[in-house]
Amino acid sequence: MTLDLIDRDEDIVLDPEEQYQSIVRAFKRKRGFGLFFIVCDRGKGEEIINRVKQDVPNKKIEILRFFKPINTLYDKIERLTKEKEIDILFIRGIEYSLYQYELKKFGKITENQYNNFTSVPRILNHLNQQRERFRDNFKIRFVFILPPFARNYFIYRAPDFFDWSSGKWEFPMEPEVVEEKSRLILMEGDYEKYLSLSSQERVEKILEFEELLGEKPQKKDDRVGLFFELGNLLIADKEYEGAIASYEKAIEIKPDYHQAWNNRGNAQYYLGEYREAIASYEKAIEIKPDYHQAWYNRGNAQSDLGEYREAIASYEKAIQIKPDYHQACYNRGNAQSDLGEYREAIASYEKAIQIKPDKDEACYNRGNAQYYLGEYREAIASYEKAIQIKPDKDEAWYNRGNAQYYLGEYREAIASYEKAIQIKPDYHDAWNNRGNAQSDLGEYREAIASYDKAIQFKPDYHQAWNNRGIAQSDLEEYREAIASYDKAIEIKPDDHLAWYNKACCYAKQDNLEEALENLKQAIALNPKKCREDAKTDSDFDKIREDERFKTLIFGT
Amino acid sequence: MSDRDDEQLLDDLYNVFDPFEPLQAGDPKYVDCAEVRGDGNIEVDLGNRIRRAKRTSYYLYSGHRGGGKSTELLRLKKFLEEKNFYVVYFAADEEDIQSQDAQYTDILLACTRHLLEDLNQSANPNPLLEWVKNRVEELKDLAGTELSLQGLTVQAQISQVAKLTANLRAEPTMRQKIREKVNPHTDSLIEILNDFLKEAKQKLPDNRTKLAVIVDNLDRIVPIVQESGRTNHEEIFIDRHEQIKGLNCDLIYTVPISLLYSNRASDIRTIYDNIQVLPMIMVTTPEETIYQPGLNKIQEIISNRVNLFAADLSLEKEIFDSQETLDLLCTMSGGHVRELLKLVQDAIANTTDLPISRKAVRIAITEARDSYRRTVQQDQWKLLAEVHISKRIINDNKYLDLLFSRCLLEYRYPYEEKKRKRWCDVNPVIRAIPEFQEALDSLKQS
Repeated sequence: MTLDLIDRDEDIVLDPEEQYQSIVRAFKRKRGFGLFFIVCDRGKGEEIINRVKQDVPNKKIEILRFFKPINTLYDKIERLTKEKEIDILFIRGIEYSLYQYELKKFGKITENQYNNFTSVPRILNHLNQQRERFRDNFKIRFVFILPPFARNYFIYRAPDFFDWSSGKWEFPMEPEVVEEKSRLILMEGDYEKYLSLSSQERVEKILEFEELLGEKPQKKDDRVGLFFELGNLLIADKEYEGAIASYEKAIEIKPDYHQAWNNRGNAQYYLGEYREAIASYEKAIEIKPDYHQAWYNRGNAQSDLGEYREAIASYEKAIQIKPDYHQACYNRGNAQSDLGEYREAIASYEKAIQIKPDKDEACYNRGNAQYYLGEYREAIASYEKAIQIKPDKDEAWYNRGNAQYYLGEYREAIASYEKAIQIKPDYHDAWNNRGNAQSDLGEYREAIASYDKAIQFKPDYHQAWNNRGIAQSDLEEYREAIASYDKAIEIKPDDHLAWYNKACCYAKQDNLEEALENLKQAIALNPKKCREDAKTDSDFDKIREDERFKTLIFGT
Repeated sequence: MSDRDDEQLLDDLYNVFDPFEPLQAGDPKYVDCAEVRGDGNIEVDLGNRIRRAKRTSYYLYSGHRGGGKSTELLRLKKFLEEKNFYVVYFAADEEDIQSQDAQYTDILLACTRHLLEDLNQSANPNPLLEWVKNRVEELKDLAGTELSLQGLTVQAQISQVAKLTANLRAEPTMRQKIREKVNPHTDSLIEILNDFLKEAKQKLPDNRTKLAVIVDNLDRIVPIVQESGRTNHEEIFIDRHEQIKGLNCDLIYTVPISLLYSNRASDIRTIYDNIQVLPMIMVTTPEETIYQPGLNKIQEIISNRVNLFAADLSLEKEIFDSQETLDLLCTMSGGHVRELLKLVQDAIANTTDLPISRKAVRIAITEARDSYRRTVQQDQWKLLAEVHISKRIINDNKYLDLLFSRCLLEYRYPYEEKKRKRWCDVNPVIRAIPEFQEALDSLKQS
């Protein structure tokens, strides 16, 4: 014999029936303890179990099925053996114990990226370490029925247990089955549906794809479709890197697959790789120039890079192709807002609302643009439109309150804030602004109560502390007011307003030294504003003539 | 021979090739392969060394999974016992080790538990149990454990030690906290354990005079690369060697062979007093020829088992269909005993009537090849091809997986010019895999 024979030894592939006969022979011959592995899809597994029950008489055959993750098996077998005598025990569903591991690596399992594994599923550690106890205590032939991915887990993560195997049989899916399953899975492919799956269901689905892709005979189109759908599924599972790899596989086979380019862009976008995403979208546009979604997506990536001009151009291209593309109109409005072009933004939002009258975000953002332009009345109308569409839109209530506040309609503003608070009880800004409106109405006690609420939900809310101090000093409760300012300063030591307000309190109390000391701090932090304010502030009337005060305010 | 007998014989043969029973010392199925395993002999290489050493020594024993390590260690145990040693042998199991993040502490506690179990009649176990009790006390709040040693018999208390170690394998976040509580006390544990050993050595069971501990199965800790970039094996056996060498008795640890080829292989050789590797049975030579003495040994392993049922049948005519088939099988085993047993067992599953045909053997080989193919990653085919050409492995972590999965096997030339020559090759079943051949071709061209 020469070693040449070793190098040229070709595989002998048995047909499924021959393999099955080999299983039967092994089961008939094996005595005592033994480990066997059968790798196949679920349907085939059931078929084998049923046939073995017929073909291997005189042996006590039991089936143990798991539908949930398990950490140990020994104890379960021990219990089972107390109830009945078992020669052959089929075990199904171990894969449920594996789904939760290495989710991040699922996209890569079929490529054998095993050295990245960082943990060992507990059940596999159990089997690997306990194999002697299984051997010594159970005279049972254990037959593990596994889907292909689970077999890989055994090879890698329970190598010593797997090494004791007396036989392993692989039943690849029949070509017709692969085709049929591919057809089904592609037909029902739907991103929205993927999103509605639970994490576990998604993982199972991902594995279903990977198993189909792992099968050799396959139509090219099916393969491309499977990679594409798998990518979508992985995006739904937030497995963006895996999704990108999957889209790239699809593109590799079919380079002009514009949707795959576009979706690759989306996955990159979700990863924050905006430049790369833009390149992907541009590739999709190059293949299909009127691909409005890609133009739109390109605009979004550009927006996120702060390239608003370019983004607006992208959105306009999308709108040009698809005039009723309200998302693009809306996002164009946002980009314009970000550039401070509120007039144009308002026009964009109105376009979006015209196409889709119930688009509450567009109404709301139109309100904001109007608000920035000082058009409070119009802003209030916009917010009310948004609220009409979506009554629990708390921020619309809140901003309506702000607009009313600026119009001096404090009562109405308070009502708006209260609506916002009703929807979102821990809305600290609404509490704070409610306090401001109450203060302006002279209802200081109520205002203080509002600030307390704001602080309760956001303890480091220095503005609320400051406002609280102002309300207290309006009540001439200076000591309490100073305590509030101190709190504001503790949170934000460079809060010149708090220092200044504190100085006011001391001045009102004739405490010249402290007043000057605090004012000095305030001026050091913001010389221009504090000096300017102090010149006319009546709070300082009592100390205005003091030389040191004059020096502080007017310089030498 | 009637068909009925044939069927019975096939059944018997199928079962006698079970791949999961290490042989007890003295088993007639045992074949002494020293001459084709580089003349290594555990009795001489480790046994005599331990026997003659003037001070306590620490040894590593290694080899491929399923290559016969446990069988050899059981022989060593018997040898040492005959030389008046008391040997505490234990195979670390799940009770002891959670492979995912096994640490030195786990091994130390495992030793504690097994020493207590074996030697509590020879020395006063109370200080040790006191230590355990204190730890249990400390962990009460943390683990919410119901553990208590109060009012238990010594035996029952010892069994509670296992529960303490079980606690170390609680949920991962808890595990870390528990470790933080236990780890600072390992030094005091070593101290107490050494006092216990000192006392025990004075009155060992069966009037033995010396003590050795063999810790088997540590090679079953699955290698995991830690955040530090090191494997857990390196952390246990290299970074924490001070502790692992802390116990005052001769100790033999089994380690995965991949550790010996890691980046830090040279560190290991200075840390431990001696490292023994059980090489595979040499069935081919580095010069790419069949090594007949090795093939004969493999054949002897088969015939020793077959002879239990059919001593009168000819191995190469009536059991197998030809000498060529038998040679193919033996060569494909790579000189790895468990691989051989599995191949034979699988070939018998594919056989309805004796003799076992060439086709049945090749089906078994196909099956084995499939499993190996799945363990090799895309970028590793080139590594395999390189080793196949050079016949050696340099110390580098990139080979760890391949050694661990037995895609690469270590051999040793027989004793020659006072030097044992170590060499490596790919597992023979891999050689015919197209990816491997492609990698080999492109390597040869460049």
